[in-house]
Formats: sequence, C-alpha cells, structure tokens
Amino acid sequence: MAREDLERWEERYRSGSRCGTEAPSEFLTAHAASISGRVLDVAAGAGRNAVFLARRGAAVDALDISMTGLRFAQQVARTEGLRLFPVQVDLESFSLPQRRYDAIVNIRYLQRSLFLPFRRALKPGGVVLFDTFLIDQQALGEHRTAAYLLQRGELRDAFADWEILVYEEGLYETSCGPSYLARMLARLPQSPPD
Amino acid sequence: MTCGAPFGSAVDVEHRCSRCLTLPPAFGRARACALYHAADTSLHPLKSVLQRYKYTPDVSLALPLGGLLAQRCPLATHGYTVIVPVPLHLTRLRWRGFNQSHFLAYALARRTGVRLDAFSLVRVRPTRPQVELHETERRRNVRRAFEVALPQRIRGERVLLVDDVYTTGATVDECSRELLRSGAAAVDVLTLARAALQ
Repeated sequence: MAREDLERWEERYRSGSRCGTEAPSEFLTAHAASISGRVLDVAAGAGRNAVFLARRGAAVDALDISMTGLRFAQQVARTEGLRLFPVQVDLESFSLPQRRYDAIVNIRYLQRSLFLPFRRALKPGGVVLFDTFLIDQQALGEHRTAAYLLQRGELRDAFADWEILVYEEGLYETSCGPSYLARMLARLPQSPPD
Repeated sequence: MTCGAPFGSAVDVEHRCSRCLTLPPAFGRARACALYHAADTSLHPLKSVLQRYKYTPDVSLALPLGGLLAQRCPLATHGYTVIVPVPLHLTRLRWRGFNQSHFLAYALARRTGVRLDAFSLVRVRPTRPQVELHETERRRNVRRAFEVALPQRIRGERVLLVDDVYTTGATVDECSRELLRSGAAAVDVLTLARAALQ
C-alpha cells in the first residue's frame, strides 16, 4: 500500500467514519457460504470482513500495515473470543505462506503482484474472493491512484485459468456510496500449472 | 541470575553478572533457548537460521523457529498474563515485510494459551540496527524509542516480552522500562537466542 493510502486510512479511523470500517462487503456477505475454514484477509483494515467471517466460524489471518485498524480488530476478537489473528505486515515485501488457506478475501485493495502468491497460498481447490474498485471510480470524483484501480475485465483475464464461479463488474450502491467495482469468486484449479 | 548471562566459573551459587550489578535492568529476568557468540563466524546453526529469517528475509522460518521457542522455552509460562513482542518501527517493517518477534510470540502464545498483544507497545521512532553499534551506543540508540499506546491493556499485567536475540539487552530493557512505567505488574524477557559478546 502506498504511503498516502496508509495516511488516508489512519485519518478515516481517527474521524470515526463508518465507510469501509464497519459493515462487511455486500459481495462477501452474499457469498459467505463459499468462504470457510482457514481464511486470509489481505489489507484487512479494521477487520470488518475478517470479523464477519470469524463470527461465522472461520479462522482468519487478518493482514494490514496499519496498527490502528489491527488494534481495533484485535479488541473485537478478544471480546468475542473469535479465531481472528491480526498481523501487521507490509504486503509489498511480505511473502505469503504456502498451501495454508481454504480461502483468500481481497476487498477494496489492489496489488497485482499478489495474484501469483495467492495461487501458492491456497490449498488445492481453495477460493479467492475479490471486491475491488474499477478505474471508472475516478469518474466519481474521489481522488484515487490509477495504479490501484482495475481495468474493466482485467481481473477475469488475470484469473482466466481458474474456475470462475462468479464475475460481475459495474456501478454498485455500497455503505460508502455508489462505487464502481469488479467482483469475483474463483476456485483454484486442483492441479498446479506446468 | 537476572539477565541470564552464562558464567565461565563453576560457582554453584546464583549471582548477578557485572553488568546487572552496575546497571540493574528494568525487567525481572531474561532467559534464552540457546547461546552463541556474537562474533562466531563458524556458522552456529541457530545463528545462521536466524540471520536467514531476519535478513533474507524468510518468513517461512517463523513457524519452525516459533515452535522451537515454545518447545525449548526455559521459563514457566503459566505465570504470565500477556505475551508482548518487541515492536518494529514502520520503516523497518516495510523493509522486512513483517515483525520477526511478533511471529515468534504468536507461536508461543498459540502453544501456551497466554494472550498475545502485539499492538499496545509501539516503536515511536526509527532506530539504527543495534547490530551495527557498540554497547554504550546501543543504550542511547533505543532510549525513549518505545511507547505504550494502550496503557489500559498493560496495567496490572504480568508481561512476557519476546524478542529474537538478546545481546546487550538494551532493547528489551528499554521496552521493559516503558511497560513498567505504564503500570505492568512485572516484565520478564524471553528470546530465542542469546548472543554473548565475548
């Protein structure tokens, strides 16, 4: 995550904004039945999605660079006795463990260099769930770096050799207001690539 | 007896080393699972693995090293109410990608059932790597480098502070001072390795 992004999130936590910090992703709640077992949540923030999954019984490793967000997630985990493990890491330099997860959730975050590590971090037959901004989001006036936004169709193309269970993109009404998003649920093929 | 420094003499009564006598540390006692010499270039097995873990860096070693810490832990862990890893500054975290002590502490917490708190003690300013510095510089380097962000989580707790390597003890001593200042009932130190300076 870029330095300015970290500061933007820290500011959001300080201001107590609900947007992106409280309600889980609507796409995740709709497909929650597919996400269970040992789960990795990358760029977990304050843990809105990780907490949601842990409350449903998953064991969630919640990774983020911001201590502020993780501290909040840890407090919830402790109070409710959830199997939620917040860890401060820099995803740009951290190597994911191998064959550890049944599912990976990647929500409102884009780091293309993780696509290959996701494949290795999943157990065979594991699933990945994306709910991430499209380039069109810039048209809504919110300042966002183009490098952290998806092109239309890009995600589906990048995971073309996976079993794509759900793919949709467009303008959605979310807890943060209208958002241009690409949403995908895909299953890792059983056999590794050549 | 305090910092756990090994003695060359065969004195069978416990006593403090000269460093602990002249500059008593803030922590109660410090123990490590293994000992090597800091200047050892003959590739002590744990030293070479730890260097690979920290400087490659290779996070896949976190699990076996954490397991080793839990298995060979020379302290009875049931007396502690919380395990706290020595924190990294964001600058160092960005370089390594992770906090090596957090992962060791995590493994120990899992094994012992003692609560892990990696977010209350924070490093508030970047410091030079201690390994580059002489003993007196090390103490100055880490002075006031740590803060307890959430004192309510530390107050009254019996803390087991975890780090990868103990050399002069300057880092864990400064952390212990800060934890005690914030109301910790006690602080002991556990490291995977003890690097003896001579």
